[in-house]
Amino acid sequence: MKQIVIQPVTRIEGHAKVTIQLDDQGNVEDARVNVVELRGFEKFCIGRPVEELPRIVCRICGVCPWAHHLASSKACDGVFGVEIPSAAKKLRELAYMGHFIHSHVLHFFVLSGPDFVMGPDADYSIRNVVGIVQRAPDMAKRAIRARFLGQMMTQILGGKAIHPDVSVPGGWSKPATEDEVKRLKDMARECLDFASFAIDFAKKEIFPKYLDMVKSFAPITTGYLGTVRDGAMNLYDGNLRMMTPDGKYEDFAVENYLDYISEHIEPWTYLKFPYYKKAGQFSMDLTNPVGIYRTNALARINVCDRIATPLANKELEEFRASFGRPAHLTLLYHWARLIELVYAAERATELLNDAEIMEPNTRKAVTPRAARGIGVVEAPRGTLIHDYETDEKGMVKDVNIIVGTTHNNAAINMSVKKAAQDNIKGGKYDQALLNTVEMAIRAYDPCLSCATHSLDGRIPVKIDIFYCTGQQAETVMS
Amino acid sequence: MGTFSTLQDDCVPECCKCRVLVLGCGNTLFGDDGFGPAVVEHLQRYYAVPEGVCVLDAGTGVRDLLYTVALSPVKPQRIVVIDAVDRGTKPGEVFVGSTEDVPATKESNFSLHQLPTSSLLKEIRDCCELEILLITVQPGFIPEAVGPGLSSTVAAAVPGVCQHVIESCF
Repeated sequence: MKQIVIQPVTRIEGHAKVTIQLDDQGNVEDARVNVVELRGFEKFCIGRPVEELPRIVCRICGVCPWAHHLASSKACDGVFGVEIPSAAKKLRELAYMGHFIHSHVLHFFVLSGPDFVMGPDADYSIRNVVGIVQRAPDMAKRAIRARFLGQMMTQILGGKAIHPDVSVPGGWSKPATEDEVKRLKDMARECLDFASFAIDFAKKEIFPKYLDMVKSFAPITTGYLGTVRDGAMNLYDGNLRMMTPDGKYEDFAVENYLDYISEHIEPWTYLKFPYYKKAGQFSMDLTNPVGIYRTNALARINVCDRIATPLANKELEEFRASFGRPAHLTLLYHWARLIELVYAAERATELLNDAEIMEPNTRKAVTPRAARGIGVVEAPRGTLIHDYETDEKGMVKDVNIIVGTTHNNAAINMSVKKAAQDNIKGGKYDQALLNTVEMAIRAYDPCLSCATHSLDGRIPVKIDIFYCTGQQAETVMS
Repeated sequence: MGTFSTLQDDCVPECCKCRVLVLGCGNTLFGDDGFGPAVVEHLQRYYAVPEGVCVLDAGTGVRDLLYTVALSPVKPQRIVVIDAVDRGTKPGEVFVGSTEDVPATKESNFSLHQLPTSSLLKEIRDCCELEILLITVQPGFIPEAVGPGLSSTVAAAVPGVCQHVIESCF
C-alpha cells in the first residue's frame, strides 16, 4: 500500500515547503506546497474601532501595504454606509496605480527577471537588484528607475509609502496640489515610456526565446477571478467576474462573494483553498479539476472583455490573438503583468489629467453603526477581499480577509505537482527539478504568509521527496 | 548609477537625503519581533533627534526602503538597522555589530523579521559605499499567531538601545 507522508505543519520561516510523494514506480503521486498563513489576525481585530483597521492592516505586509490599505478603507466605507467623494475615489486609484507600477516592475525585472531576462540557469547569487545594477544592462537601469518612480508616486500622494494612512473611512485625507500633479505627470509619463519599452523588449527579446517552454511548462486548466467595470479591467473598483475554464463567465457584486466562493480545508495546511461554489465541489485532480480558479494578472487579463486605455488594450488584443481567451499557460502570468504595467501607467496619466483630484472635497464624515462592509481591490497578487462587521458603537465584531495568494493556493499546488510529474520519472530527477518547481511558484508572485518575502527577492524553496515507504529520498533547497 | 542623476532632487525622500538613517525593522503584530519599531517609537518620543538623522519605523517594509536607498541618487552615509534576531542567547540581550556579524541562518531564515539577508546588506554596503550598523536583540517570545506587544525582558532593553543609538550612532 502506498503511504502518504504528511509533514508536520509548523511555521516555515519564509520557505515555501514542497513535499513530493512518490509511488511504487518512483513517479509522482502527490505534491503539496506549504505556505505560511498569517494566523490570528482576524481575532486580533475584534473589539477594535473599525476605523483603525486601514492603518493596522498595513502592518500585515511590507510588500503590498497599499492593497490592504485600500481594501480596508473600502470595507470601512461600506460599514459606515458612505459613498465617498468622486475626488477621493480618483486619488485612491491614482496612488494605487503608482503601487502597481512599482510592484509589477519589481516582480518582472527583479524577482522573476532571472528566469527570463538572465535565463533560468543564471547564478542565484546575482539574482537581486544590486546584482542587476552592477551588470547594468540599460533595460535593468530603466526598470529600476521606473520602480523607483512608482514608489515615489505613492509617497507624494500619501506622504509615506510603507505604512500608508492617507486613505481613511469616508475618503482621502487631502487633495493633490497643483505642484504635486505637475511632478506626478512627469513621473507617470516616464513610467508609461518605460512600460511601452519593456513590453516591446519582452516581446522581441524574451518571450520568443522561451515560447516553447511557455507552451510546455506544467500546463493546468482552471477558471479565473478578477474585477471588471463595464466589462473593462479595473484594479481599484467594479464587479467581480468568475470565469469557468471554458471561458463562460458570471458577474456579481462584491457584496455577494460568499455566494460564489467557498473555502475548502485540507488537513495538512492552515491555508484554505477557496473554490468556485457553483461548481458544487473541489478537486485538484490534474486531469479533471473542479471548482479551481486562479487570480492575479493572467486572471484579470482573461476575465476582462477589454482594457479601457488604448495602448494596453492593443496589447491585450495582440495577446489574445496568440493565446486565446482564456489563456491557461502558467508562464503567461509574466506577459499579463507587463500588459497591466502599461495599463497602470496609462491610467495614472488619465487620472492626473482629471482636475477633480485637486478639488478640496475629498472626505465625508462617518458615524459608527452596526453594519457589514466589504471592500475589494485587485492586489498585484490577486483579488483581495476585506469583509468587516461592526456593532452599534463601530467596534469590530467579525473580520474575514481573503488575500490573492490564498485564491491561488489550489492552483499553485496543481502547478507544482505537474512540474514535479514532468521532472521525476521512475524515481529519477536532477537539479532542473528545483528550478522548474521554483518557476512554477514564482509565476504566481506569491506573498508567502503576507509577511515573508526575503529582501534579495528570493523565495526560498525547500523540497522534501519521499519514497512510498515513507523513507525520505532527498531534500533539495535553493 | 548615472542614470539616476536626472531624477529631480525634490522627489528624493527624506530617508535618502539624511546623513544617518535609523531603521526599526520587524512586525509589531508578533510579540518581540516588534522590537525595532518600539525602539523607533521611544526615540521619537523621548529624544530630540539631531538634524541630518532620519529615524524610521520600517516595519515589514525594510526591503523596499533599502531598495529605495540603494537606488537613490543621494544616500545616507550610515544606516543603522535595529531588529530582533535569534542568536540563541538570553532574551533581551543586545548585540551590536556590522554586516559581517549576521548569523548565517539569517541568509535564508526570514521569518517575520524581514531583516535583510547578510549578503544583501553587504552588497548594499559595498556598492553604495555606506556604513551599516546592526543593533539586534535576542527575542524572548514570538507567537505563532498575531499577538502584538513586547515581552517584559525585551521591552526593558529598549531604553538602553535608544541611549546607545543617541550616544554612538550619529
